[in-house]
Amino acid sequence: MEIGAKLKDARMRAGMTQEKVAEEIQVTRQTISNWENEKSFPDIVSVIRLSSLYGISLDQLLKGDEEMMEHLEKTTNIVKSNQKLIIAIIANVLLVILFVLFNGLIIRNPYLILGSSSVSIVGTSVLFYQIIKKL
Amino acid sequence: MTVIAVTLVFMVLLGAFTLGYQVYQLVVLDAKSRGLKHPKFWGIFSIGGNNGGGGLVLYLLGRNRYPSHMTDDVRKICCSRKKKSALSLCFIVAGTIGLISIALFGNPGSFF
Repeated sequence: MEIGAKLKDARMRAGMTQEKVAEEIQVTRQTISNWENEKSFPDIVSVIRLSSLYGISLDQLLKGDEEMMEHLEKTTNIVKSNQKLIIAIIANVLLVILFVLFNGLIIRNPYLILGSSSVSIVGTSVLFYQIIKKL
Repeated sequence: MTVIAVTLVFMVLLGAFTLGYQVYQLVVLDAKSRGLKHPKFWGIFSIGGNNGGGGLVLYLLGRNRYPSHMTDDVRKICCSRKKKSALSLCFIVAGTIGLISIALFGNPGSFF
């Protein structure tokens, strides 16, 4: 059984309406409906709150639902899932700092201007490509 | 040299238009797979933004709450479009570097 069905089942057993649950969890009724129909997934904090509210264990809610586990991994482990993007951002920031520091030296030499412009254009393109890859 | 400059400008413009189109299509496919309303609006929104990539970053941040139900066929199409986006970026990079070198040195031959 997927998490949406488990949440609905648990809510019915607890004898609560979506409005009541929404009030307790501090979200909208529409959000509860979306979770139960699997149009969206709850974040880990909401999952813990729902587990307490319905009196069921996290184990019962999460185990066996691969999509939900993947969603939680992506949303909680931000560093791991965006490693290349973070490296590209850091590289671009370092390039900007270098260009600002060595600005006086670079502008005197047209070859350095071309080189530094090329590096910054390539760096920006790599960053943009990493962003597109996230789609 | 004028011919080379015009060619390079054409390369940059071609790269920019094709990149915008590929990003639009990628976002539309992604939005459809997540069940978002008005996927074409999100496509147009993502190619906008004051900083070039601003709309796309905002879309990527906001869409995480909605799980993706993308089929394998659509996933293959998305992979293909991402490769085409990379090619468009290469066109933009090559054209821009060429134009800068013309601006600095006047004649591409004098660089060597």
